[in-house]
Amino acid sequence: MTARTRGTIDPLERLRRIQVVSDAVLAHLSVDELLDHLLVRVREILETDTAAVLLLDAARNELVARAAKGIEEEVERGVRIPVGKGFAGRIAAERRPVVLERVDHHTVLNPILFQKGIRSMLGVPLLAHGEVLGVMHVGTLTPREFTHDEIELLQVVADRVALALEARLSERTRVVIEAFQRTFLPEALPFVPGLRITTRYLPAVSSVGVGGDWYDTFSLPSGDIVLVIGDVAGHGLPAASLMGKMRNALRAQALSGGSPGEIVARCDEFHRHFGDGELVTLLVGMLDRDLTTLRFVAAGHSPPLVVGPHDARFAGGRDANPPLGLAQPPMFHESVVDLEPGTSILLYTDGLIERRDEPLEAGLERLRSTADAVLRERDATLAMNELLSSLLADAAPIDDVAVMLVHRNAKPDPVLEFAVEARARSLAPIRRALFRWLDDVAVPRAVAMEIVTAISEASANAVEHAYGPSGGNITITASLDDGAVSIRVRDAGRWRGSSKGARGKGLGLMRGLMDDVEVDTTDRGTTVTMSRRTT
Amino acid sequence: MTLQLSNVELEHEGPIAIAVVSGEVDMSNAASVREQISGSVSTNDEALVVDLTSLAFIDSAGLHVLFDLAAALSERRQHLRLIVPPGSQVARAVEIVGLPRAISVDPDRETALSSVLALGSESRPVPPGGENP
Repeated sequence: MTARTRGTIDPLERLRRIQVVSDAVLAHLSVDELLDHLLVRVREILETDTAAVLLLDAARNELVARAAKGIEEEVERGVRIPVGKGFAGRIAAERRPVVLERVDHHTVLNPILFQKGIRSMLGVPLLAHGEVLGVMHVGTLTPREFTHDEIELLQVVADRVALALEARLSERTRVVIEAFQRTFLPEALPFVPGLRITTRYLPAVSSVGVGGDWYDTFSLPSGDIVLVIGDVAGHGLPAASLMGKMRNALRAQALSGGSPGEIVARCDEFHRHFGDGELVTLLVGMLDRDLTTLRFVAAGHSPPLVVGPHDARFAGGRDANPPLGLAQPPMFHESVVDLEPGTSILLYTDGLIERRDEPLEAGLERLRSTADAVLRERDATLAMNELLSSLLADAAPIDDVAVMLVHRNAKPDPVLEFAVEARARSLAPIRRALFRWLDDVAVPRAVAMEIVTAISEASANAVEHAYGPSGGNITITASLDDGAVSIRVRDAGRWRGSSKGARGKGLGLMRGLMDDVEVDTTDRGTTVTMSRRTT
Repeated sequence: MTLQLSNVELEHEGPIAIAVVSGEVDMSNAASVREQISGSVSTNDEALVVDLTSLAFIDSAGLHVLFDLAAALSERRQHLRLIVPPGSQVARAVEIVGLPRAISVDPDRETALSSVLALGSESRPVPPGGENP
């Protein structure tokens, strides 16, 4: 700055300087960097001694000091001013510039201002799209009359700050909600031989759309597989938070047992007791461990689409059951779908089918015909990609989209390979996975049971001996060649401890049940290779 | 809880405690199954019958529990008998580890109870009111 004397800079020149600052330099700054930078410039251009910004805490209807130049202490003490009270509070309440020609404890609430000797103040609201985001004010240590031009100049700056703030705050809210949302999606999908589960979650493009969709899938101790898709009414953090609660309530209810109808009824009761009357649509399906039947309840939710070998059709009606959250507890009716080999079931939220300008039926039919065309006889991941790109290509989703595709393989996998955590609780799932696969490849039940026993033992050995407390994985590979099943159970640990007691019996069991057992231990892990004729 | 891997139900037939184990027993639940079974036997019981008719799966950790129970009961002069249906996974596992050399195994409950009572008549009197055939 060359001129320090007030009034020597042409108002247009001042405005130009501010525009340069706010447009080019500030585009990539964070909220705090942006405010710091702008306040320095404002103080220079208006030649004031202080400049400060307070942002609105809407939940408490208070202004909170966020950034200041000249009197930084104010920020450090986290001053809060109720909207409507004092100087800043009045600006926020009246949504217009306020000038204070004399500062004392009658005119300002913040004691720092007059303790520091501030004499005159000018403040303007930060308004974006009619919403008050906060207040920006400047002050001088000598009495001063702010001119009309100066008031207008500060308001121009404030408008620009408000727009930049709004964009940053809403982007940050969107990022937070999206991160929050993702923590409630399952970390890993259950491994079930013969079944392929593929899921997608696409957050809405605009920040207001992100919120209440979720999907979930997990195995129960019984071996049954639970499939869930749901949508909480509303958007933003409240919807995301309710979604998190519903998702956890549903997991707890599913674990307590019962049919999908009973689980949904208990979730409805939970929601009526703890919720706030928000509507929640939900589809809860239970696939039996033999993968033959899907039993489900669609509560106010669009029906699952069943893509069989010959056709694609919706199972059950859209209005089979009301959504959760109504005043009166309804009965939730179950529907049943037989799952022939080669069948896919698609669960989705309305974001996949809704368009602003058409009835829901048209969206459902578009989904049905597209799925009929793209979902058959191809890799599930590619099929899902194609389905989503066909349905969402010409219109970015206005709402979140959650989709789950559950495909029952037409033919058994020739080779089964999967990895599980080396924990005792993994043993039952290992047995179920193997038993299913052995059944698929037509190994007689009695023989299958013996093979499963031997593999459970080999896996228990790895659980007990392979890893220290940090843990690791067990990888199981099974194949059927020339009437014999070959199995490998691998770990990547170092053998610890003895093989006395139960584990000694374990090796005896393995040798007694299988035709051939080899144990190969190196410092990179142990591999147990076993084979057994199927007749 | 029907969703647990295993379930132990306790019954009494006169002086005989019967533990009916169903579901699956492996290293994840063997210790708790052992607790549940041994908790079912009082010092007044002559014998414990562990009924494995509804047990779908047992591994070496579960078999170890049975050996262990037999040893603990024999120190207290109580008999242990197992009911294992022939042809089951449990029967195959029990046979391979040589469990019948240490513990008496019967194919069904009737045989098990009459065997205990036959033993009991040699060593201890049958209490009046016993409902067994």
